[in-house]
Amino acid sequence: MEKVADVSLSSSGVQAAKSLREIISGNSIAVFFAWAACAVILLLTTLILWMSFSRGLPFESGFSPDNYAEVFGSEHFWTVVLNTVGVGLGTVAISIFFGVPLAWLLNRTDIPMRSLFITMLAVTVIMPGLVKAMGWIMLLSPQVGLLNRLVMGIFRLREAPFDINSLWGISFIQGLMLTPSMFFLISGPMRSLDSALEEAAEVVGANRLKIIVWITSPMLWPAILGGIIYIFMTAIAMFEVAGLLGGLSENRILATEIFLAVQPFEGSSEIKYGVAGVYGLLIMAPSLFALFFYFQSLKQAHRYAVITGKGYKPKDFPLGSLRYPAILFVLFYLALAVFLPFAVLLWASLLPSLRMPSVEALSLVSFKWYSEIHYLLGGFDVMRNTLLLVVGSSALVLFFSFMISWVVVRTKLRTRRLVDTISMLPHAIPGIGFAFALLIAGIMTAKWFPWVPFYNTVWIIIAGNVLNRLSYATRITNAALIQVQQELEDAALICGARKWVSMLRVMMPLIRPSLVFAGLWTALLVFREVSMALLLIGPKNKVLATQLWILWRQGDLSQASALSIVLILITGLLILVVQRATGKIGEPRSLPQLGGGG
Amino acid sequence: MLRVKNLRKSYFMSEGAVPAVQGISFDIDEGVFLTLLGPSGCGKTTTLRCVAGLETPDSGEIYIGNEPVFLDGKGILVPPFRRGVGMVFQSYAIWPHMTVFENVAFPLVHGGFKAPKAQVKERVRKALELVGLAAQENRPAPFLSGGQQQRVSLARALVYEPKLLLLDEPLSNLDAKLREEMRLELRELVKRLKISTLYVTHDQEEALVLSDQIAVMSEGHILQKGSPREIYLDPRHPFVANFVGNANFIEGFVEPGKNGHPDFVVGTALGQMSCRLSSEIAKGERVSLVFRPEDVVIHTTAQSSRVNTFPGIIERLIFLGNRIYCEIRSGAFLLHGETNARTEIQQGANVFVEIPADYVRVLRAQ
Ligand SMILES: Nc1ncnc2c1ncn2[C@@H]1O[C@H](COP(=O)(O)OP(=O)(O)OP(=O)(O)O)[C@@H](O)[C@H]1O
Ligand SMILES: [Mg+2]
Repeated sequence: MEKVADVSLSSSGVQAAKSLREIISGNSIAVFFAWAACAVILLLTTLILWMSFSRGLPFESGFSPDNYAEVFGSEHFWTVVLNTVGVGLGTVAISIFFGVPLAWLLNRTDIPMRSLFITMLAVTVIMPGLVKAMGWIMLLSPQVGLLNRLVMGIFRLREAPFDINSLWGISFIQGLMLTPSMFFLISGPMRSLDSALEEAAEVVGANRLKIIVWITSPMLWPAILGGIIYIFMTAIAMFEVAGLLGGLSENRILATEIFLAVQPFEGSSEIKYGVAGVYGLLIMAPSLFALFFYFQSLKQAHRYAVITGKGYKPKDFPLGSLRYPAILFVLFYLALAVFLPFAVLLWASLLPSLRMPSVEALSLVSFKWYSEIHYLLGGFDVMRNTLLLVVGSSALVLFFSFMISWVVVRTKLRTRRLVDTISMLPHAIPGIGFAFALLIAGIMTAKWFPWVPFYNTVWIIIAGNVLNRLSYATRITNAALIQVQQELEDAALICGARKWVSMLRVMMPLIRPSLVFAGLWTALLVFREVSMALLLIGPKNKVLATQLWILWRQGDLSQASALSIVLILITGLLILVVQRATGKIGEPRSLPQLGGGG
Repeated sequence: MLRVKNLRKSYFMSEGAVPAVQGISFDIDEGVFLTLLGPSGCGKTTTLRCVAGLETPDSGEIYIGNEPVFLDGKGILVPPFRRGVGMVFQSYAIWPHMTVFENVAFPLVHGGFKAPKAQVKERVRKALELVGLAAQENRPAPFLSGGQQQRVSLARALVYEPKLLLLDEPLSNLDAKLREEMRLELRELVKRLKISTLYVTHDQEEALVLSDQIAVMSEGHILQKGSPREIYLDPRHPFVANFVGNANFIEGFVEPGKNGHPDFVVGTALGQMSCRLSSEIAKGERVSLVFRPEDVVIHTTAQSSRVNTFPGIIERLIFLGNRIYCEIRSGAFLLHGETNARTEIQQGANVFVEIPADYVRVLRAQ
């Protein structure tokens, strides 16, 4: 018993007490890192704004409105804006067309194989947007598109009936990509709709269609609106599809303009950082505005989720003989989103060059490209970079989101609301915006502190991905930490553990499933991220996703197809790991937060 | 062992400040078991958490041993992990990702009470034996019953042999039978280990059985402190009388006593009552008379000669097994009394109630 007295009551304890005041009430480690993350977010956001007023690099040239004059005065300006809005709305339309009926069918009706379908929807992330776009180009391009040729053959047409290289094409593919996001965003509210209301309508004698139109839909509007805003924001910031389909010079949208302004390898002669800054701001502006509404709808989603938590089970709508068309509809979406592009990629990857399936073509099938996979993957450096990118990003995302959540959820600091809000900013700022800011930061670093290994290293891409995924992961860790009772943490402190020991030994293990889930999903989405990486790569920091892009741009369709298949297989493996580790795939509440498509 | 002086703590919320503890003081001597007893929300847990260092008080002083762990004036605040107290939480706070052994070993392995590896096993086993859980050592914590979890929590608090043990309603989640068993076991254990204990409960019976000293709390204040006997038999405050056991309250004015009579007389709704007044209370003052139902004697026949005897009618009878609880109306006053379970007595019967003068407490009216 004497021992205890020594530990607890030694005079050093009392002396140290004053300086420790902050540590126990302030959780200084967490506060430090949370604010570090927030500071970076704010700095980069400011940098975008700064760049828009600067003709050269910051500090090297004064402020001027010239960039705005150049952008607004450009002959393309209104075309670009209209194209962007068009792509945004088109994407929203497609994702509503598929997402809303799917959400209703899979949540509120007695459709067979429901959970299998839900899992499959979640797993469509297996196919990155870039790959999806490649597949669809091979199906619907006017020159080589297999579907186009098929239709031309059947109807003896002279011209290709579809042109994927259009705003319609971009909207179509992005819509297919974001349908699962829409689906999961409205699934929660859809489930918790009070079926009593629907039944009440039925009692009054309304028929089923009327019930859906007049009762179900109005109640869902807030959730659908939230989904629309989210999809719109994501769609206008997405670069890879438009970049691939328009070849950067047709179908210009804001996201591709940023590229043209800063990436000389795509043929633009002059690097115009300031102009890119203006475009970045133009993408961000509606998003920041929309963020407000987005938060509102998220709040409501929360409210609904609480209801679901109480084991409330709505009645399923009996489909009757409509069951078969319903299943067909689900399969139709899955075919467009995954099966068809996958099939065409697989086919192309087995041939020397793309051609229609025929007996002759079959005789040409070989695994030639796969045997050259090492060359396709881009060699050891690319592999190492990719591994570092994926592992590093997930680890850092987890670390920072845990620290932020700690401050937000487990301290009583007055600044925690601010931390919460700032950490949500990346929701509104498109990845491409961050990538641009990082590019500038990278160039400045290389110039002024050449010894800092940042510009033209994997770390700059990692930084972009960490910022981009931080908000989503933070929401998961927030939810997890809220659920851990305060006394579990207190008990560790009472046992003499310091704050960081209790974090490490008690809190982290307690929320481990959520951390694993968030970490693996981050890994998956970082692995297939290409927009930011393209803006940030140089000769030394190529990764797999950009390698694929480069192969395609070089015109090696078959090789690019083979690499896509490999990419898909790796992603699939990762998904399997997630499923094994957490069993959470297809659990609707976890997915929209991750922004599966974005 | 523990000295708390003028402790104050408010919580600040968007709706305004909640004054949870409003200037309380108490001491616990070496080896003494003190219970904070009070209704839900009176600030017991808050006090305990302030002592543990989990909550920072607004003002006041706290000493553990002779060392200050909180002094508002000097800015001294010793963090919880240096206070070296043991604590059992209301929810037990057993870490579900660890086994029983790992839970109990935590303070010795990761906490502030590091012990050499060889000793850890030994000491954990000893602590588990103390609470009778040695056999469940390797069980994952979630697979334990409520009572077992409570024991693990206790073992974890005892394994580093703290000098001060803080217990926050440790028995409130157990069923009645187990609660009674654990109550005795707990008392036995802390007495044997001679640990000073600060215990929190809202259960008066628990407090009476376990404690050396009880401090009755209400709305952030300590109303009375004393041994269980004092608290029960000599409540100094109507709230205390009512919260600890049941009590009859009757208001009245002190009237001049008859010559040579040792007692004073208080005029009440029942009539004139004789009782013993403490010297502080002067004639003419308004007072509350407090007496316990079990002190009321119920006679079925007239007792004309006795003092403090009043006629009444039995309004309600509740058979409690070991006794009968009666509500008796006498004039405008409803009186609670108890009698032996074997008493033959009926509802509506005319009875005479006697309130022995020695058992009536006279409190200044609030
Ligand atoms: N974290 C908190 N934030 C705000 N108010 C609080 C907090 N904790 C306690 N309170 C308030 O302080 C008062 C005292 O609470 P405390 O937990 O100390 O009560 P208690 O005596 O332990 O009650 P119980 O017997 O129900 O556990 C209550 O009014 C409570 O609502
Ligand atoms: Mg309490």
